[in-house]
Amino acid sequence: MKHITRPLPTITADNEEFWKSTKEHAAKLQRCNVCGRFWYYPGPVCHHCGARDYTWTALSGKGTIYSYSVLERAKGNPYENDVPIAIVLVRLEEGPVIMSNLFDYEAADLAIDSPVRMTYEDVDDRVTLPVFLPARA
Amino acid sequence: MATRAVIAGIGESRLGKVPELTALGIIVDAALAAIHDAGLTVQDIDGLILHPAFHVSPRYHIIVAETLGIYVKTMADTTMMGGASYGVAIERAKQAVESGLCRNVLIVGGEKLATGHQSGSAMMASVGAHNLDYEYPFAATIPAYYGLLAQRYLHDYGAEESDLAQVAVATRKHAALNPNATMRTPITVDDVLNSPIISSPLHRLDCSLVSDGGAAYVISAAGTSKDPSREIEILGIGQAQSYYHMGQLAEGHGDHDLVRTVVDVAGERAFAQAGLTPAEIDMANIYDSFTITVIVQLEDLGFCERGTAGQFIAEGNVDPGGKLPMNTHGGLLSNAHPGACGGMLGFTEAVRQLRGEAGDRQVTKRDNALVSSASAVASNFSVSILGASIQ
Repeated sequence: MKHITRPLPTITADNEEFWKSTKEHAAKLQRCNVCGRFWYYPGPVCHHCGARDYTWTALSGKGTIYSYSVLERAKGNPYENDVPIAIVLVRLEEGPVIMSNLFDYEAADLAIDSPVRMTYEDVDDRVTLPVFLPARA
Repeated sequence: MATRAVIAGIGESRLGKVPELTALGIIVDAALAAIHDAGLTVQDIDGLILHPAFHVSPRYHIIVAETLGIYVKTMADTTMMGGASYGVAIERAKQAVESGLCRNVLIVGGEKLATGHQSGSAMMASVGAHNLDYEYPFAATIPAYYGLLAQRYLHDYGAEESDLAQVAVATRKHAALNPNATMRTPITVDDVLNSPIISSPLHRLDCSLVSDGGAAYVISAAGTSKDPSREIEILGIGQAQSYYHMGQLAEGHGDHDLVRTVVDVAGERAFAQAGLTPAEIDMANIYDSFTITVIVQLEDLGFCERGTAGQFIAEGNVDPGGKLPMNTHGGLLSNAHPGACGGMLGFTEAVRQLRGEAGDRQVTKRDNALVSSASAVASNFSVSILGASIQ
């Protein structure tokens, strides 16, 4: 995977379990114990039904591309020398849609509904980001 | 008889590159122009709305009041809603005037995006324009967000990049008639498609300008300005907000998702209050941060069927002399885009047109005008329908 100079997220009590799981290369999201649904991004209450009763649950890592955009010019931004960068919205098998980057792809992989799989980018001691690779048949 | 709020005065600073003025100087120029246009004095102003935007102080509205000499206000607000702020501000000011809270509300904004601010990350971080924890780490710039929206739109409706480009081409036709517009040279669809990609599928000419400038309006009780025949009616106004994290927009809610925006909710309210339908609108200034921003709004507001906005524009409907002249000043794409207050220029232009003071670009049918403003990747909207004076 190519290098991208990234601004990094702030780790808080609301999301530390998520960032801990990505650091372990085994991403989890909150799954509601009342309605059974997952949500993204992490937060203190079920995004769908308002329950505060949830379990951090492992993801399959499988998803499909909902949309994509290849950033080619980003003057003034920290990653301006790292373009082109493929930015993707991935619909996870568990339901939520997550923004991330796609790496090591061929032109045909970058298409809406194409399957992708989650992998991990260890950025520094604190942060590992969930990123994606094509999931070719 | 109940008090009726009107737009009593408008003002603009110089637009484009204004290196000789500070942002505060731009704001003062616009504010005094609007107050003078209404035939009022600074002492008549008793309400103030200003979005602090990229200014450092969250109390920037007070600094502006101190600078202008407006000591006592009975209503002040900051409407920190990005590009939608200055449409929402009119709704707030209208309520203040009609409830008796204020007599004359000054709404003003001014920015120096071209010659005064840091760009890119500094701008994003300073205003938290998008989700800094779950989106910004993935190199999402503002054009990238709109690129994601545009790509999904093209997929859902089988549309082409050339459909998006139609917006830029039509807007430039209007800008060519505006002597103050930044970009006036006519362009073709090929020019747009041959301009460099910023974030696919958006090319440079799909993206709005980066400008200095500011604007202001005064909202007053009908009949209080020096010339009530120049007062502009607020026939209807509505707002609607959804989310801004793009994953949550994509998941959607009910009939709405990333490409089917909640501007229809704001529009329905405005149309109902005005007693008008989309077909009865004489002109429209549609917030055009990017070409795709216009495409989804034209469809969601009911000016054309979903998936057909490119064709609607290509047929000349929004051109000068068309059935719905759109962005007659040249919009954010070709006139000027001084940040969050850029949407104000759609209002000042609509007021000029409805007064019959728009010079070479005056539209012939000028009973009403729709003005929209948007922010946060086409997810937060204000829609106004303005009417010519009934005095």
